[in-house]
Amino acid sequence: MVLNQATLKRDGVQDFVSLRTTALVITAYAIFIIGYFLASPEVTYEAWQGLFSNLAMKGFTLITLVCIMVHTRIGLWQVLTDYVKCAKLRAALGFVLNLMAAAYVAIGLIVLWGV
Amino acid sequence: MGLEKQVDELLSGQDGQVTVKKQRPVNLDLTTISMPATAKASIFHRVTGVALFFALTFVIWAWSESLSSAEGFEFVKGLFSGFIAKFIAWGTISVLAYHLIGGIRHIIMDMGHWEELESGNLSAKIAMALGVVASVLAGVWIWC
Repeated sequence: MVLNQATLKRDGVQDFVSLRTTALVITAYAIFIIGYFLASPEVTYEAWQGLFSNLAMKGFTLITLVCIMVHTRIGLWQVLTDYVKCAKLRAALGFVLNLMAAAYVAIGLIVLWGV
Repeated sequence: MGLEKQVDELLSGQDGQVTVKKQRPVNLDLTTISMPATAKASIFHRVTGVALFFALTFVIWAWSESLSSAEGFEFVKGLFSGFIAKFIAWGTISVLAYHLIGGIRHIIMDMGHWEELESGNLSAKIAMALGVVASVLAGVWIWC
């Protein structure tokens, strides 16, 4: 018998907690960014560049992108397993979508590195 | 048939009782299933989640371009004088707003509230109404 802990599979509790904790981080980030635009009537390049050159903002942005990757990995898996019945197609779509999510993180890291 | 028998054996408890009846009517024709407010709220939460995932492609592109150089920033800013960029921004904010409201409703439900038929339907209707309000406000913000 193979114990659950010995496999690389996620379990339901882990998904449940991950989905909600990542949601909190993404919500905080979304509110911050929308608040930033609402509070500054005219966003200039200097102000925009200054915002993202701040180390705390770089950390917040990268953590949010990682949270989006974890959140969409679970959420899109839930949607795919409910609506795409063909296993091969589901695996292919899952692969492409997870690759996209990983690309968002990679691109985010590269952009933040250069600011 | 061999597999079916195995499944039957697995479904039978230790006392030999079959816990699942197989002869149940299955109705998967979505056009004949009534969609109460809770079902609509749920499907919109999924649709907006998937839409947000794809909207991120535009958001991350615009963000990356706007931080690349002063020229890149002005280019992205210029795009927002046109309809397409405004529409994508409005759609993204609207979809984000509903997904967020639906998510907050889910977390409140996790804590044991709004789980009855009446309160569940009411909170679903309120969540959808708030989504529409947020969408209108986002439109006013972007176009006015």
